[in-house]
Amino acid sequence: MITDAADEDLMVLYQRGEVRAFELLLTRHRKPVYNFILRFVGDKETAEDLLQEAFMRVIKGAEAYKRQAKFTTWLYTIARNLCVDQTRRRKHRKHASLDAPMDTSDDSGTLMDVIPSNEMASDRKSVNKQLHETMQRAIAALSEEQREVFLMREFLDMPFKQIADVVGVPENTVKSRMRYALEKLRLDLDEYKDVAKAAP
Amino acid sequence: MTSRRPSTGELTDAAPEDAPGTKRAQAAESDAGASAASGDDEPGLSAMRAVWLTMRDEAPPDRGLAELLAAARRQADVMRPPSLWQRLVAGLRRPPVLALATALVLIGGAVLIGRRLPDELSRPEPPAVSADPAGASRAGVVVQPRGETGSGQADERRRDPAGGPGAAEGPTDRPGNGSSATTDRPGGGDGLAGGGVGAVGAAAQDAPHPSPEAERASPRHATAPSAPALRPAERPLARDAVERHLAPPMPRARPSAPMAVPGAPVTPKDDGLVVGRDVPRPPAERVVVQRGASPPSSARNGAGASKAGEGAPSPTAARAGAEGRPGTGASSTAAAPTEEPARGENLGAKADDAPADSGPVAPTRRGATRGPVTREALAALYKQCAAAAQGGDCAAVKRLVEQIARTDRGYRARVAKDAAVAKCLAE
Repeated sequence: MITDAADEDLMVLYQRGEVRAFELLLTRHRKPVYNFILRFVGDKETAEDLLQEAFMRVIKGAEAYKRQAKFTTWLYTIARNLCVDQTRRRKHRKHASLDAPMDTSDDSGTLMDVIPSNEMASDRKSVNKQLHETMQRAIAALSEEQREVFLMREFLDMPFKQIADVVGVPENTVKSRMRYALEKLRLDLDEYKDVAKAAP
Repeated sequence: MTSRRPSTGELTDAAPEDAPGTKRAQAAESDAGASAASGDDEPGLSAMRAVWLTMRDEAPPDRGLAELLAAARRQADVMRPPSLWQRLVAGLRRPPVLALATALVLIGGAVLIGRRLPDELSRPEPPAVSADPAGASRAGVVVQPRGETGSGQADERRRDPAGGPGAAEGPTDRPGNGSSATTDRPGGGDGLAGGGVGAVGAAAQDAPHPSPEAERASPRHATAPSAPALRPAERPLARDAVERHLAPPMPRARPSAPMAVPGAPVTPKDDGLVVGRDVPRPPAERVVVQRGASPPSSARNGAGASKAGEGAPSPTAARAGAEGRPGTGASSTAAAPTEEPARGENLGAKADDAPADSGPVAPTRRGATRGPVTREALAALYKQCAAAAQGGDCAAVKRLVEQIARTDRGYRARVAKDAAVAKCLAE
């Protein structure tokens, strides 16, 4: 059955002109890639564009794909490179200040006002929501190298070896980056440790 | 730089990542493995992991999905392997395959030609050709014995590979093919050599040549009809076949050997080298010029004589053969087949005008009955021309020159010797 075939087999089928194989690949990997990109860049619109671009590159490069390469490694390498490029482009832009007023009027609030505060919510749902938002901010605060390793390791459950292949660094470097990422998250989320333990 | 291990809190030498001193720390920590990196041993971090693991994955929007699938279909069409026919055609268009096909065609053609050759050789020759060796007698041609003329065909070919085989294998239907080179050779032409040989050479190749004894013994052959000309494509092959079948054990003359015909007129040569200055020769030296003289063989000579109304080998060639010079005679002239393409026709035209007793007339390949032109007639024309020029009748001179020009293309070289004629022509 084609639906049970491995990603690599599906890619080979697509190389032979089987469009159905690519549709299956798209179905399997569109969502995780999208979420990886979204957590990497932190912006939905940009994530959609990058997802589209990532699969377009897969289509264009399908003819040169070799069966020996792991498809997910190839796919996430493309996605990660796109994210890195996007992040570097964004660095050159001028960011809006969180403290600056959104309007020219004196009574207008700031961005900081609309961002949820770190204060604990009374009910569970709001606590979870607050935890998630805090978690996203902490992940976004990671360095680029630590963030990509953390995302691939914790959300995509990739082995270190594959992460090393995607990132293009030695496996030990990946582990080191992961360790520092966790350390930084632990420090950032230390005050929510008890809330997290209490969360369902 | 000393830092604290994130998961265990131990102090390590690990520096911040990617710093120059981090490699040793990474090597030391690599054994710690994923468990240390994932921080499973710290309860606080495990609780936080539980939080981020509960973070829901968002579904990507369907925007752009159709474009993605359309692009995937286009690329699939590009990547789709060609069909069997397309692959076959593409394979056949590759240069090595084309080269192989070319080689096969060439080899096949060679094999086909090689198979046709024996068939042509084994084809029975026309009975008129094989049974009528009387052409030479009818032509009044006397073939010199082999001892006088030199060697036969084999000898000629051996001694003159350029000339003999060339004449034997050259296209016999080409006018002027033959002995023009012979006439150009120094000392080769003495009034009878050269031009016009080509017109009759094919005939000489097509029929056997009788021996002089046979000619003398059977004078009736002098009036026997000549053998019909073979088809051009058959000539070289049939000639060889005739040689094999009919070559009698008789003295053979060189193909270019003069076939002296007692009482026969001399065919003027149209290459313009010698005819004009010659005086009529004794009857024993009169020959019929044979155009395109074939390689020496008795059969071939006989064949030539059967159509000898068109001519006989030139005396130049005859002398060359008698002297045993290689490469002389008509056979060597085949190397210059196109020197004067219209010689034979000129000769034929003159032959038509020749008197009936000037020699036998045989049908040529072109269908007309062309007989030899006597040297006397030509000499008479020259004399008349000279006389008219001396008398100041330039109109008559021009008319005579035109008449001469029909037969002798080299008339200018000869008539120009006469100052009066030249003066008239210059007018």
